[in-house]
Amino acid sequence: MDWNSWLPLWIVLSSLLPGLLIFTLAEDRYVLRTSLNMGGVLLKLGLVGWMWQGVKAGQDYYFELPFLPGAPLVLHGDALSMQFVLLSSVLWCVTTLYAIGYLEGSPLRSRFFGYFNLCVSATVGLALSGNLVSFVLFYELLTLATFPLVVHRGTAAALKAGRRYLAYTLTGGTVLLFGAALLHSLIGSPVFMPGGYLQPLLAEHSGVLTLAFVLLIAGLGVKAALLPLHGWLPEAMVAPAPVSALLHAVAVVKAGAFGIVRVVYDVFGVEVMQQLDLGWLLVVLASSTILYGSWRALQQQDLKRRLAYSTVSQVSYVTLGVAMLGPVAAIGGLVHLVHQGVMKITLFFCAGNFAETLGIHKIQELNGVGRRMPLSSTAFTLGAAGMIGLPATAGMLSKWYLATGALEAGYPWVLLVLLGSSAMNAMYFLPLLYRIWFLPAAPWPQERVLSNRFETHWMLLLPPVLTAALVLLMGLLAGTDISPLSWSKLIVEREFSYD
Amino acid sequence: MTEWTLWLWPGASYALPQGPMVFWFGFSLLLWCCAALYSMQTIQSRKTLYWISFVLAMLGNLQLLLAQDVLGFYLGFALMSLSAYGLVIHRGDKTARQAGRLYLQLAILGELLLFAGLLLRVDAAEGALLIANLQTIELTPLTLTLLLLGLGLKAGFFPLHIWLPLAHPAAPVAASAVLSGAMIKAGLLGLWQFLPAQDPLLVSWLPGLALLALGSALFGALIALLHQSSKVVLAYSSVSQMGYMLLALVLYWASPPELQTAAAWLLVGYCCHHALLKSALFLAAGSVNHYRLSTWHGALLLWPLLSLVALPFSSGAMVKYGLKQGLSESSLPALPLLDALLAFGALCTALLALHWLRLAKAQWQLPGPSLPGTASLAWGILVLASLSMPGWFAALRPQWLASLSFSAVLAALWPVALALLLHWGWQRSGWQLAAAWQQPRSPALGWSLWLKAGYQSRSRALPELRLPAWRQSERWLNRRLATESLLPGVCALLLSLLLLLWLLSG
Amino acid sequence: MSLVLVALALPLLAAVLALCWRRQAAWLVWLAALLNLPLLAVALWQVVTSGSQPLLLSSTETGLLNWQLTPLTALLMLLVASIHFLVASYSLSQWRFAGLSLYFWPLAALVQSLFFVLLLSADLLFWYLSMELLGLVAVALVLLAGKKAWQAALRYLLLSLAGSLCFLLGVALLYTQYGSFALSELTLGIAESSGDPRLALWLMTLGLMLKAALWPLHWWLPAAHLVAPAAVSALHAGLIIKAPLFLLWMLWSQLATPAIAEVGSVWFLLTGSLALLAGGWSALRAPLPKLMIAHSTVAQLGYGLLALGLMLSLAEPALEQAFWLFIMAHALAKAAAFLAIGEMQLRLGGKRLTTFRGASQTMPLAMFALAVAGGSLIGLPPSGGFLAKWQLLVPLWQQSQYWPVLLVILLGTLLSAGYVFRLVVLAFYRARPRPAGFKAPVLPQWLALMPALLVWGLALFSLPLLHWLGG
Repeated sequence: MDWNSWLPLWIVLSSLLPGLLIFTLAEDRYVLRTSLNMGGVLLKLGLVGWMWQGVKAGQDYYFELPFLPGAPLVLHGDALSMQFVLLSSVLWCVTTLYAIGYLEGSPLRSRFFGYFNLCVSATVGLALSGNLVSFVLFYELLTLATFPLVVHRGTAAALKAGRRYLAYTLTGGTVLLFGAALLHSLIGSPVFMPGGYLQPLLAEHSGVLTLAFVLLIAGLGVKAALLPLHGWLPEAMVAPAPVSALLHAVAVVKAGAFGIVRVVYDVFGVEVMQQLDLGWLLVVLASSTILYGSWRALQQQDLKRRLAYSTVSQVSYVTLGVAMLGPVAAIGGLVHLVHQGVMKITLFFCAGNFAETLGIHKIQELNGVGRRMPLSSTAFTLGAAGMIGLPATAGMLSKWYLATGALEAGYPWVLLVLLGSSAMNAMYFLPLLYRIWFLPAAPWPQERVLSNRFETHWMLLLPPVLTAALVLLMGLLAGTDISPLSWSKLIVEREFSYD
Repeated sequence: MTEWTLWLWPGASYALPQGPMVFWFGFSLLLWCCAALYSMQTIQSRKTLYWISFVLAMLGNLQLLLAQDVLGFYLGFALMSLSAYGLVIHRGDKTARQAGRLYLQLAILGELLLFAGLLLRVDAAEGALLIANLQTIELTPLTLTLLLLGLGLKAGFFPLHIWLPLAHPAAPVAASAVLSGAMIKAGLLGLWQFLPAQDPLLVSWLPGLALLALGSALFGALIALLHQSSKVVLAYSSVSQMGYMLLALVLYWASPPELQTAAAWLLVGYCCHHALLKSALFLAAGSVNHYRLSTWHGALLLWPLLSLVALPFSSGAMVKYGLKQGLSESSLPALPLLDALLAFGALCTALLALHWLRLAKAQWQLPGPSLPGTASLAWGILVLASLSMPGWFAALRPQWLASLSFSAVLAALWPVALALLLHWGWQRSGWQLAAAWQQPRSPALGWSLWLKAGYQSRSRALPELRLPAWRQSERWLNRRLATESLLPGVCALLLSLLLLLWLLSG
Repeated sequence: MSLVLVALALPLLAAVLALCWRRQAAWLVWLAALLNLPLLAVALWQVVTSGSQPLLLSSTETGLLNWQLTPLTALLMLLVASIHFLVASYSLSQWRFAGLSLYFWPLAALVQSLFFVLLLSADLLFWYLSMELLGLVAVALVLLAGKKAWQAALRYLLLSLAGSLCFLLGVALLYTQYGSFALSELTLGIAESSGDPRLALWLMTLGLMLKAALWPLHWWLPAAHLVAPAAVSALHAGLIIKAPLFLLWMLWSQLATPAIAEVGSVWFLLTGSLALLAGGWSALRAPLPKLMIAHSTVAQLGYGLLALGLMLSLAEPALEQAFWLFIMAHALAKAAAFLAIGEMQLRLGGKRLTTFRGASQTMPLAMFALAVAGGSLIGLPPSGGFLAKWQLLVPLWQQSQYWPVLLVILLGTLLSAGYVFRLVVLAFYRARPRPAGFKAPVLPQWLALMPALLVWGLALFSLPLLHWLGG
């Protein structure tokens, strides 16, 4: 057996199997469930680490299973997929810890963690999928696996959000499927390759290719929350905090953004995109989403909702960077894929901590939290600083590369978009920080004592602290080999150096 | 050094300061240390907040002085600006919060403009990230405007000073001292480093900038006379002095290459002079306001003031003389009435000093706790440094010596004498400005509020959901279709079959 | 070959025995169904390895009984047997509780035998006979529900008879024109002679559409499903209405001349599209879960019609595969859905949609079965429904003139997602506390889940499957 070709499958299975096992566990099997969860996560992390160094050394990981005629199920580890796989497995690790702490003592934990693991399997599968059909497959599975998490609370509001989520994502998935079928009918479903595989069709089928592009982007745009298709995201914040954190940072929106990256670079390819003149369309769409999301975030009074609109805006940075079709902008977009994930997950963890410990949901209730929960508040501050793009944080680097790339790719007005968005980011995050640190504390809505030693339960505290540290480290130590920036450069090098 | 900068962000690079920058770094460090010393016993409330902000701002300031690359400078600049918010707002009352808000809004605005400007510069340099690499790249009107605005907002010369007279008085005195002494200089440093001298576009803008600088110098001093709070007066004095420093910078830009080093020394000398004396004055203002002082404190209070009005032997005389001399030798198109304007500026500064002295005297020896020893020490060190500056700032010694010549002494003294006369006359006559002119309120606070309303809109109530009307009719139709359409349908079908059969047999 | 005949005879025997020993009826029929599975699997393996075989029961070459076993029929027989087995097992596991009549067992066994006859024979007379009998058995099954079912059963009987009558008329017409019942000879006859098979074909089509509840002749279906017990609904939606559909496909693919096929194509595309849309909408708005699934059947059969209509004009092998895949996926998914719904209604007590509130906690397995089956109905990958839809989509994209069909499929998919998740979402409400003794037995739920898992398994097995389905 060739171990290398099975590695992608093992990475997917390392969370799928624990997930299926967890479904069968009784509610009170806390120890077994936790060890399955953490064991799966750590095993996955190890496997991913191994694959990471292999990919870096130029090794190829390719697994194939017959599926449709002419379209096998392919799991393929390349540089781009490693970016997303690594992001999801690292963040999943902390989120699992967080979720265990968060759900302590609440009902239906087996169901929750079962779906939780399915969700990571789908995400990782999506990252590793090597052709369009496999991508569509995991894309749909992700929708299905996430839905029970969104509606986990089972309240009327949660169900309403769940319905909306499904309405959007299933429609998107169907449209994506149609687009994939269209491309399949033209040229089959070859393995993703740098530079795309549609070059031979360009002469005859340019109209059909444009149609396919529109279909694919519409399908992916739902999850990536591009402008007219973003409506589900702010609603979905009724989910429990770890789920929101995942939805916004890794699983769903990133799946959409990652898909756009794949479609632009590995299906269509830069040259075809340029010749079909499709890039600007996406740039305009992403820019308007960025501005609109920030603008709506300004008007929200609910903490998580504000964060949700901020996601709408921030995820489009990735799309923007990719759509400008220049190498530097691509670095910006790809690195933001990681940076946004880490920053947003920090923010959602902290919001969850505030809600769990002190019952804070509204922005007005945040006054003086900084002194009651200094560590969470510090983490929140770092996350917010990253979102604004303040220097020394990860967000600054993405912004810098995006902006330089915009100038390089001939979209100088994008600079204005970035500046405007940063300004609005500052406008909706700084007042929060002001309330947290500088205003005197009011009585908390609903305080619970979760720990005698720390400000809240340690499982709730550790994840945001870790990710906040990451936000800073990714910004400061961007020059190291293991930083997302270096990896993005590697990806871009590989994506732009075909011929 | 380069070994570990590889690990940092792209292009990260540091160097130990050299040449005039040694002094710049030195006075910044001294200021921060003295401010820390002063704060040790004078800051009683919200200590954690204060010290965290203080340390972060200090780190930012020192970092930007050491950084040799664009991102490093920007990092330090932003860290310094934003952390200083914690210092401005430390007191926590309404005015402090308002001032803080304006400060933060403008700081963020400045960040963004600076970001855009730097970005465009780096792009023009094809991605080179070292500041040194930018020196050969020509400016465009856009980048020049962006950088001037972005850095000028921090440097605080007219008309970008609007946050300054609000933020300085709100902050604790030690913070005001570093704010005015070290931090606003960072803006000037940025201008100095990022705008290449001899750039054609910059050169063509220089007369305008010189006018702006002079205007700022006069405006600050004059407006200061309208205010009755000693710290506000000092803040306006900073605006005025920043005007002079901008003039020194303009001089640097205008000087031919062989004179550039001298101009750079003059610029650094002016900054150093102002930093030391202004921080000493702020400490003085704070000490006078809140503590009971002993008599020898009076000397500490007076000396920086004398240096401010550029009395002979002071560092003020040294740098002012240098500036005058430089202006007369420079290749700037001759400004009419330049000498007169400078003399008028000196008069205004002297008036300002007297005005401030009067305000300080009103506070002198009011009941209160006595000044802690560390605070006195910090204050003393600063005054000592300012006093001895002509001694250790060797590069400007010729100017200092020249300023001791008779004509120079006369030129320096007559505005002061005239100011004394005017002040005396004013005091005697008891003449007051109209109330409308007293303590003019800055319109900036209004703008700040307006901006705030933009991002803190209230949530609106959602409209109620109603069951759509078509559901009723649908229900009715369902019932009909389910029960009553079946038999007629079947009959019609059978009939049509019979018809078909009949047709077929026929 | 005798394996298949044994498989045909076994349920028949079980039915007769079950009528004699009523107490053992359940076990007998279940045992017959169980035995049939390995038999048919072996038969499938044989026919796949050695090609299709004629089953000559009489010595004459042109005898009445020229039956044939092809990979397709073998596969369909296996499908019928497995659905039958699962339904039988489900009924066995809970029939005492459900109050199912003992007559269910012989009738169910008859369904299997009759279906086998229909699949194996390739001549019109046997088709008519088996279909007529299937219709009667189906009415009898619906009647098992007791008095409340009378009205619905009566309507069903009436329409079924009318449909059979139409079909018979068509058969008679063809026989008078070409002198044969055998499909192969009819094909030859139509190709050679100048006779006009049009009227006969359309009459038969009318009859079949009525019996298969194809839109617009579907009104009887929801009412019948509503009253029938779960096991009966599962058999009915899974198997019985597939019989006329099978015939429809055989008739049109074999007998239609190009000229007729052109008209037929338009007709089937039209009815198929309308079925998808109208059926989907009715399902979306249905107030009761069983009604919803019944309307969904109407809608899903629309896919079959679309595939048929496209096949008639495009003659792509992928479309044929798509058609059979739709049949198989739909049969399995519907069986699972009806069993799951029946089980939940039984245990949770209630017929309305609100019964399902919190079902994901009270009866997680059954709800999961319903969701999984629903996933295949929507066509989510990697289910059988997805496979079928993919096979339909890919040839469609190559023919740009059929873009309205694409639009219809898109809308149909969205509608199906709408009604499936309307049900599924309800299950995720927090459940109200159940009475202390409440405990849903697990076995029936697993049995309901089985067909749903099978339909998702189809996708893993797709390449050989597509190979057997021709093309």
